[in-house]
Amino acid sequence: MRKALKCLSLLIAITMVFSLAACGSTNGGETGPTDSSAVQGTGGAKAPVTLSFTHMFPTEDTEGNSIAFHKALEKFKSENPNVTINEEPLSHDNYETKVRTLAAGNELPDIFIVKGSMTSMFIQNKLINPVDDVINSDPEWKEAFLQGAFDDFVVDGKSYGIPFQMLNTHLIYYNKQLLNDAGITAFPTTWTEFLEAINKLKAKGLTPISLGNKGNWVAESCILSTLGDRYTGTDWFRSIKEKKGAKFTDPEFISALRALQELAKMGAFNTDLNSIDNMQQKTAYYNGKAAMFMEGNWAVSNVINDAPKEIQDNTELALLPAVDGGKGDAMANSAGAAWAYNVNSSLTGDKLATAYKVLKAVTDADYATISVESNAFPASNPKTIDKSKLAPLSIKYLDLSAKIKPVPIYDAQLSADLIQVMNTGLQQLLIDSITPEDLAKKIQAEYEK
Amino acid sequence: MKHKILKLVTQAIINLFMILFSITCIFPLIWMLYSSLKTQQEFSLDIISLPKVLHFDNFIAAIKIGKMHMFFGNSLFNSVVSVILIIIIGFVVAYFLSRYNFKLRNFIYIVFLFGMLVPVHSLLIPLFIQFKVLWLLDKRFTLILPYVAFGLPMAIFLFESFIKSTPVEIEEAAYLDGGSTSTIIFKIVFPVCRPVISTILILSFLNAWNEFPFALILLRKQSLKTLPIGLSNFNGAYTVNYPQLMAAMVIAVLPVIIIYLLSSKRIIEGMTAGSVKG
Amino acid sequence: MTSRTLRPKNRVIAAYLAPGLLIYCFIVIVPLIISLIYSFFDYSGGISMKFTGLKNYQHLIRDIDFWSSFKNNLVIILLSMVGQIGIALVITIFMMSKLLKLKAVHRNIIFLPVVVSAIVVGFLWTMIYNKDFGLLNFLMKALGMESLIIPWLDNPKYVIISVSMPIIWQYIGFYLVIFLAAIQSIPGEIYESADIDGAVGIKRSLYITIPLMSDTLKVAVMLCIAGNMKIFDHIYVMTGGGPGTSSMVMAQYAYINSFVMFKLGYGSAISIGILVLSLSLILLSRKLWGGKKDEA
Repeated sequence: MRKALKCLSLLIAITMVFSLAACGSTNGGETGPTDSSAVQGTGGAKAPVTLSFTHMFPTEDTEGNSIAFHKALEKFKSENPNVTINEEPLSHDNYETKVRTLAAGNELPDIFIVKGSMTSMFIQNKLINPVDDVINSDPEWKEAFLQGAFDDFVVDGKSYGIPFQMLNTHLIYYNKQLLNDAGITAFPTTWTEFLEAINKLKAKGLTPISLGNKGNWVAESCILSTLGDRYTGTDWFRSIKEKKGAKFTDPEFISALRALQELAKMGAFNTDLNSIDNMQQKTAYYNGKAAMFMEGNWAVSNVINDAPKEIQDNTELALLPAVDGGKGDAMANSAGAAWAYNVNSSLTGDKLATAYKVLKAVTDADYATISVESNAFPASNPKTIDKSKLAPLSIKYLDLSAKIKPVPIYDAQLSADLIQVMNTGLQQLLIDSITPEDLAKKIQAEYEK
Repeated sequence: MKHKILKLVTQAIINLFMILFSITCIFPLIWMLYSSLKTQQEFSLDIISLPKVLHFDNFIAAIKIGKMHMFFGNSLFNSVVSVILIIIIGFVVAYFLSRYNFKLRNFIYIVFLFGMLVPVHSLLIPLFIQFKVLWLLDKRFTLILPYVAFGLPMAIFLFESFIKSTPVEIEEAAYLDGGSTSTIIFKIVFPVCRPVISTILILSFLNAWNEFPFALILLRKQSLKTLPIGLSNFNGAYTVNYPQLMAAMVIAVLPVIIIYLLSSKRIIEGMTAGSVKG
Repeated sequence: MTSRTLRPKNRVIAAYLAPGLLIYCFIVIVPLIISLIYSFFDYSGGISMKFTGLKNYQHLIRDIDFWSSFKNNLVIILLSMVGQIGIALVITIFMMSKLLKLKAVHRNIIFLPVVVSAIVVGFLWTMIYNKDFGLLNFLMKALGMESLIIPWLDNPKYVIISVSMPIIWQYIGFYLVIFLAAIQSIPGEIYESADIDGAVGIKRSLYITIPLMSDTLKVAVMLCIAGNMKIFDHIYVMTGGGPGTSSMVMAQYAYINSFVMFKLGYGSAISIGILVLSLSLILLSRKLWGGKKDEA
C-alpha cells in the first residue's frame, strides 16, 4: 500500500513538473497530427501546406458573416489545392472559452480570431505578431479596408489583427407606424424631444424601447458606448484608453450614466430587461408591442429574416439624438471590427505566407462583395455592390452608415476585467440598485488597479 | 365509515398531487418537442402556441448541416465505455472502502470525496496543459479519462453506502469456503448491487452524454467531437435559431430517454427481486 | 467484516484500488495541485507568470462579490435540502403506499428532467418565468393571483429563489431513484409486519423507513451540498448571475475571473476557496448528523 502510494506521488510529481514547465516553453507550431485522410495537393509544383484554423463560423450558423466566410474559404480551397485547412468551427461563446484556454496552454492553432480586448494579453505572452508589414506590402488589400477598421487592435501604433467585419453597435430600429400613431411624425433630434416621444409611446400602452440585457453587454455595447460619447466626446475616451488623465468619475461620464438610468426610471424599457436576451428583445418589437429597440447592424439581417412583413416595411433606422451640453457629435456611433484574424507567432516560411494568403481571401474586397450580398457588413469596401440584391432595410442601413462618424465601442477597446465591472454595474443601474456616482467610482477603482 | 372517507380523501390528494407533479415534469419536454416543429418566425412571435403546420425542416437541417449522426456516434462511444469503466472501477473501490478498515482508508475516502466538490471549470486549463504535454489531446479515448475520473466519486459513494447496508454473512461464508477475493466480489457482491448499479448506470451515462467543457477544450478534430458541442454550434454570435436548436436538443435527449425507459424496467425487476429475497 | 482472518493482504487491497486511484489522481488531483500553484501567481495564461505569494488569498478574503456568491450558494443548498430531499422523501413514501396508482409511470416521468442537460433546463425555465408569455404568469393569471406576480428573474431580492426552483425541480427524480433503490435493501418482512395501507400506513412507513435509510440520507445530504456548491450551468443560462451580481454563484465567479477577465491566478484561488468551503460544510454536516446518532 505504502509503496503504491509512493509510486503514485512520484508519478503525480513528474506530470506536474512537465505541465508547469510547458507553460514556460514556447510551442513549436506543429499543432497536433495532421489529418491523414486529407487530400494532398496535385496542382503544379507547390508543396503541400497544412494549416489549422479555429474560427467561430459553424456551418449551422446562418448569419451573413458565416455564410460569406464559407463561400470565400471554399473559393480559396478550390484555387489552392495544395493547401489543406483543418478547420475547427465553434460557436461564438465557445470560441471565446476555447481560444483563452489554447492561449493559456500556448497551443493556439495556426490561424485564429482575436477579440480587441484580448490583444494586449496575447501580445504580453508573445502569441501574436503585428500584421502591418504584410498589409502594407499589398496596397490593393490595404486600401480596401474601411477607415477605423484596425482601431480595436492597435497597440503602441502597431496593428495586431486583420478585421473582417465592421460593426456599428448602436442603431435604433423603430416602427414608423407606431411612432406616427403616437403623434411623433419625425424621429426626435434633441434629447428633450426623445424623452417626450418616450412618454407619448408609454401613454399608448407600448413599450417605448425593448431591451434585453441578460447577456449584460447590450446596455453597454449598444447604448452606452454611443450615449457616453454624446456626453464625453471621443477625446475623453482616447485619454482613458491611453491612461492620460481622464477618469470614469468625470462629470460627463456620470451624466451619461445618469441619462441611461433616467430612461429606465421613466419606464422607457420593459421591466424584464435583465432577464431577456437580445434575441428576445426583438420579439416584442416583431409583435408590435414595442416601438423601438437598440442593437447593432447585425440585427438588420435578423429583421429581414424574422420580422413579419408589415413590421419590416415600417422599420426605419436612427441614432440617439444629441444631448444638451454634450461634447460629442450627433452622428457619432460606436463602431469597430471587434474581432480580427491573426496567425500564430511561431509560424514561419511557407506556412506563414500561406496563412496570410488564406486571410486575404477572407478579408479583401472580393470577400466584401460576397459579405454585403449576404446582408453582412465587412471591414473592407466591396468593388461593386448590386443594390438590387439587397433588402430595403439593408439599403437604408448603408445610406445611414455612410454618414456615421465612427467612435470606439467600449467592450472592443477596454480591457476585459474593466468591461466586466461596467457591464455588471449597468444591470444594477438599470434597476436602480446603484447610483450613477457609485457605479462610476466602482469602474474607476477597477481602472486604477 | 369515517375511516373510509378519510382514506378516499387521502387517496385523491396523493394521486392529484402526483399527477400534477408529473405534468410539470413532462410538459417542458413536450414543449421542446413541438417547438422544434415550428418555424423561426412562428417561434419568435409566440413561444407557447402549437405549430400551425408541422415543420420537419429543422430536423433535416440538424442532421444534414449539423452532422448530428457523427456527433451522436462519438457521444455514444464515450458514454458507453465510460459507464462500463465507472461501474467496474467504482464498485471495486467502494467494496474495499466499505468492507475493510485499512490504513489510509479514510484518507482515500476523503480524496474521492474531493472529486465531487471540484468545480470542473477550475481544472480546465491545468488539465489541458497536462494532456498537451503527454500527447493525450485529440485521441479517441481522450474524453474517457475525465469522464471516468469525474464519474467515480458519485459511483463510489452510492456503491459504498449500498454495500454497507447489505448483510456480510454470505461473503463471510464464501470466504470460509475458500473463495478467492475476486470471485466473491464479482460473483456474490456485484449481483446484489443490481438496483444501485442501474442508478449509477443512468447517472454516469447522463453525465458523459451531456458533458460539455472537457469536450470543448480537449478535442480539436471535428470527427471526434460530441453532441453537446454540435448542439452549441446552432448558437450564432448575436442570434439563435431556437426551433432548430430545439430540434437538435430533441435528437440529443431522445436516446437518453429511451435508454432510461428501457433500463427502468430493470430497476423495477431488481426492486421486486430484492424485496422477495429480503 | 472486521475479522482479521478474512481480511485480504494489504498488497491485494492496493492492487484492487490502484486503477481507480491512478486515473483519479491523474485527472483530478494533479490538475488541482497545478491550480493551487497558479493561485500563488499573478497569471493571465501564457508565459508571463509573476509570483505573488498569498496576495490572491488576501484579496479573496476581502472580496465582497465572492462572499455574496457564497451566500447565494448557501441559500440554494438550504432550499435544495428542503425541496429536493424533502419532496423526494414524500414521494418515496407515497410510492410505498397502496393508495397511489400508476406508480411506474410517475416514477419514470419524475426522473425525466434529470435526463435533460442543465443548459436545456435553464433555458426551459427562462421561458417559464418570462414576463409576457411565460407559463408561470399565465397560470397565475388564470388562477386570479395576478397581484402576486413579481418580476421573477429581475428582482435582486428574489432572483436567487427563482433560480433555485429549476435546480430543485430537476433533481427530485435523482433523489427519488436513490431512495427507491435504498428501500429495496430494507428487508421485506419489516413491511409485511407493518400493513402499509391508508393514512396510518403512510405515517407508519415514515417511522420505519426513514431511520433505516439514515445512511442513504446522509449520502443524499452530502450529494446535495457537493452538487450545489459547484452549481453553474442553470444559473448561467437563466440570468448569467444578474441582475448585477445578485444571482452569482461561486463557480461562475471563478469562471468569470479565469475565462472572461483573464485573472487565471485569482480564478484558481477562488476555486481553491470553493473547495475549502465545500469540504468544511460537508464535515460540519457530518458532525451535526453524527452527534445525534452513532455511525455504524
